Amino acid sequence: MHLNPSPSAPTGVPPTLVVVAVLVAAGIGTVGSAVYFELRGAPGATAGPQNVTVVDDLGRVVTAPLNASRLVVLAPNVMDIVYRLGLRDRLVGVGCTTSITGGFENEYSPNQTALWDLSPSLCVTDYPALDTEKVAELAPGLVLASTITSASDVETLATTYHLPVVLLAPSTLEGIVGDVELVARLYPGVQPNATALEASLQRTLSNATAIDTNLSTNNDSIPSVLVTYGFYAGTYYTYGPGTFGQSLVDLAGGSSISSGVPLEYFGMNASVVLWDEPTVILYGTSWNDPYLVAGQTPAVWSSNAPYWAQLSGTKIPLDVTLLTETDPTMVLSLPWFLHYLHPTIVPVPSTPLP
Amino acid sequence: MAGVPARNVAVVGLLGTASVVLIAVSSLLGGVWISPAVVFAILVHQASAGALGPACGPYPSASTACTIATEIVWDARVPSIIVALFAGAALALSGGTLQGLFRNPLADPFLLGLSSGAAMGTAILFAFGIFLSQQAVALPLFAFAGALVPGLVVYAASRSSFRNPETLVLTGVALSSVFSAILATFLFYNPSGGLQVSFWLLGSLSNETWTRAGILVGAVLAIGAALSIQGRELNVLQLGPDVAHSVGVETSRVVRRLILLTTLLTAAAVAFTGVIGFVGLVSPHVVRRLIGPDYRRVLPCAAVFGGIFLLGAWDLAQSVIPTVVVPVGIPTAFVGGPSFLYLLYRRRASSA
Amino acid sequence: MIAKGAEGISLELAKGAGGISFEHVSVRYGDRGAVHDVSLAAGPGEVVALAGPNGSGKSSLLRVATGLLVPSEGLVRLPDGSAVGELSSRARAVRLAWMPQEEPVGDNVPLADYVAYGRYAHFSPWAGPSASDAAAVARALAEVDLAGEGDRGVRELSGGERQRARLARALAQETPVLLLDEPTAHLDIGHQLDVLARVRRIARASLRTVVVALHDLNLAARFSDRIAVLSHGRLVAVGTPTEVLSPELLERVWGIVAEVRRDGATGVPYLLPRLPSGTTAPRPVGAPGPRVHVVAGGGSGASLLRHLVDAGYDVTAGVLPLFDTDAAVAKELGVPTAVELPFVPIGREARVELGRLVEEARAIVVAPFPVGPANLANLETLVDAVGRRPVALLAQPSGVRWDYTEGSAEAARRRMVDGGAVIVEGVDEAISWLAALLPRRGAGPSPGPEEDELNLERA
Repeated sequence: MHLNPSPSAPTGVPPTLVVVAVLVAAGIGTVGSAVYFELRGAPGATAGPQNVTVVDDLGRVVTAPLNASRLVVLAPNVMDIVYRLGLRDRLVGVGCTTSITGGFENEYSPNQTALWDLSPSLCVTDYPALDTEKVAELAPGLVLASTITSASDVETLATTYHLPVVLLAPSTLEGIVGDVELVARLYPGVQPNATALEASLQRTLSNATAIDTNLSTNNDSIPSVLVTYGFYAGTYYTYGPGTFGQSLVDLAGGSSISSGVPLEYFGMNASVVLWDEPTVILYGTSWNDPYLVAGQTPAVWSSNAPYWAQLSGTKIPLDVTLLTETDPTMVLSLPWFLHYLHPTIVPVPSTPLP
Repeated sequence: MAGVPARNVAVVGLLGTASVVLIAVSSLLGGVWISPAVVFAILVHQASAGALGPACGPYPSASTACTIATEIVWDARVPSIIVALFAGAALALSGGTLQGLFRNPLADPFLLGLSSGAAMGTAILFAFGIFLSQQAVALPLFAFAGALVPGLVVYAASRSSFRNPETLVLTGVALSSVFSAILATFLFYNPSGGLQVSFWLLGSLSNETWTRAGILVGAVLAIGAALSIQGRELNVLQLGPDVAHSVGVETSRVVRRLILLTTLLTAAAVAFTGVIGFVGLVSPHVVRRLIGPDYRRVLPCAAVFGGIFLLGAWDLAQSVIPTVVVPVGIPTAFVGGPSFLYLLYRRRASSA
Repeated sequence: MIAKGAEGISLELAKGAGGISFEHVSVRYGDRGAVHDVSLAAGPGEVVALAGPNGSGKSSLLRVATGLLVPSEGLVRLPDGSAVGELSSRARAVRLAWMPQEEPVGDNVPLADYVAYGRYAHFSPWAGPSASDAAAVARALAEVDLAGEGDRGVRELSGGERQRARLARALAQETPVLLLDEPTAHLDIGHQLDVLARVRRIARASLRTVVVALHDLNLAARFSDRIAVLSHGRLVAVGTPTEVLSPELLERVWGIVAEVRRDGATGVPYLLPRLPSGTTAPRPVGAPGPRVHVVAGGGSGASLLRHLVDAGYDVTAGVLPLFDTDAAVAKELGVPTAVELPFVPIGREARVELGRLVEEARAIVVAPFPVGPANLANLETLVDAVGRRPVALLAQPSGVRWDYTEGSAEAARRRMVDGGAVIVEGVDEAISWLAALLPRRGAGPSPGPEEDELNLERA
């Protein structure tokens, strides 16, 4: 018997090699074809007389039924539009934080909950992740959401459950008008409401722009402004350029102290805030929700916010939804923002602050 | 091969039975309650490509209820189950291989810094707001690419005259620290983006599709097969690289190959599930206690066990708080941590 | 190539016959050199021991041979002409087996699997081990006396058993060259001898080359054909144990003082290390003491010679046959000795020499040596000397025959006693007699205090 140390050709192909080769080939083949299908995406629904194709704020092309009778809303800023357009009766599901402490109070103020009649039966859990199965079970004709819904959840709704999902995510206040128009295209039945709302929003925006032009023509001072919706450990959370927060300050005739930072939503160093000495500080107060990284009651702000006592600017408390929800209400509150920033020039508005 | 001891057959049988039972249970869990009759009818009908049984059991076959139930069970839950099984297998295979390669019982799939790399990849995606409309497809790609970076750096390091595993591990640790620091800065200054990354980091098995499951299954089959035939080399490596070299194992080449394979495997798992700890660490140890230290057996069994472990954790994640899906990294830690302690305690007692 | 070894063991060689040659191998760690220009060749069937103090480069040299260390200069060549550094791992593993000094224990695998790791290079990558591999493992286990223990876990073995298991692994590799680094390190003496004996037998039977690093020089001398002595990375001596092991070399390389004796039965040299400060009184420095002549033979006078030299006397001895044990002791002690050819009666020249030594001595001590016709002249010459010089006769041990001259020796002894020779019971009594008779320094029987201080030098 002779031992052959260097592996020469084996007498037959060993079974292990065959199995492994098959598995490797099968595996690579599966990966290849799956990647192809994943990147190709799912074929969308075809447009027809009962459907309309729109492009949402993120550039997604969506085909949705007209005047869908069952509507699910997953973002608070969308609720405002839905309500103002008179579509509240179509609501079958609203995104809410989970049921440990209750339904809506983490995303909607008590006023909003009451105003929009949000009962717990409408609750669709969307924190920490969206309950997509629940949305599917509701069999909605349309889902309106914003970027607070994660992209994977949106993908699941659209691809697995074949639901039309339209994302509204305006980055400027003018964009809010566009969103109203977008919803009106999906619900031609409420076009009159939409037209009226859009006109009112446009008026407010034009007025604001006019006042701004006047201010600069008259060389009136543009106050430096900090808009902050929360604080944590020596930072103030605020908005950078390209966000609606910036847009808000610009339209209100102010100059945001955070406009030089190349980030969108970030925490600004409190020492820098102190150094910049903003003339006006608009800060968001909330109804004592424990989940929002933002909002605190006024008492909490004054006792805990960094350098609060040393900040010399005028501190204006506002309901935090006015600073964080990009909805018509924010636009319609512009006169008040203008007033806060230019108290001597702009009088107190006649309509109350929502 | 020598006769397989009865104990090993029993273990494999047990694992197989557990898988089947767990799959059945998992298909019943989700945000919406669907009765078992409907669920199993759907499973049978779809698995047989429409040949067997009514489409939805008690529900009328053409109704919207049936369509929606089928979508929920077959298009959403089943892919998640498959991803759980195969991601668990991937992590366990990776963890077991690295434990053997570096002769370190504390090694896990993220030893070489892959978790921080993947987090960096996703952070870049969220920070710059790029690919927003295709984020669902871009996210796994960025996570995969991010995870590959530290792995490939370590792979490149292993191509230089390698004799010392400790150097490679430290390279991975250093890279991990750098990425973690950058990530922490990002989390601090960008809370909403940071929140997204944090949630992703905790691990999730929701929102899986058949195509994603296909990619993961293919990757696990191909790489798992390639890994399990290295079992003999792994065994010999336990005696140290010098002895392995002297009996004819091409140590450098084997080490490089294993690092590359585990990196690909872990990156594939992480791309779809986020960073899930403990599965890769604990599964090989449990399996070793059951069937001994031979890596030719440990690796395949750890893969099966890892899949079951992760699927079980996923079931817990869905059911522990009603209507809420807890990030799956939490039950794995809650169950994995004490189990690991138990294993350690038992091991010390038996070797005393 | 199949060779039938001793005891019917059929040992198969993987590739050709044994042989290995180190050609001008140098190894440098940074600027520190571990091995300097070592050239050494070992042939088939040969066991070459590498000896040297710690750090002399033995392990480094073996590692160069396995390919783990790349030499900065030189190479290691195998009989088929290939250099170790050029071979692939598998090719190298079927030609060289290495047993390192230490290695991590690893997992608790069964012993049979553990030894089977040595067969790795013999498997084809896909088919795995075959019956011949299992047979090789069984043979290897039998060689190290662990047959039948294949199911025990490796971690459950004792340190010595694990050592033997590692050797079994190297043996199972069935290579023409075996490189063993301290294979006997933790073994009890029985297994030390057993293992090395088997290794040598395997080398002979299957024409394998064994290069083994050993600390124990006696084992090296016993079981190797040649010893290569390394010191500070350089090869300072190569040759048979007899050629290499000398007191000069031992002192130069290891810094020890040792006698080198030959085992009468095997002819193998062995060491008897001498402790720097022995049990006897240290040898004082300075002028030698009074002359004492010792008559001995057959080993009877070794202790006496030593004690006398230690006590500081100027000792002479004779007449002793060449190669007599006492002659060897005398030679080592530097004691001038009158010698005669072995097996030949003491001739006239030797007798004259003896007479001269007796005249020059101030006392004579006679050890209880066996007397035969050849050396009877020793006693007869002394009979005349008894009146002129003090003579002490050590008592013959009772019950032991010492007179092979049919009474002539006995008679001579009696005449010596009648003439005034003293009988002393043992070496100590002889020393005391001498001390009383001939004070060492002339200042009294006991050494002065200042002489006790001078106890540092080995003369």
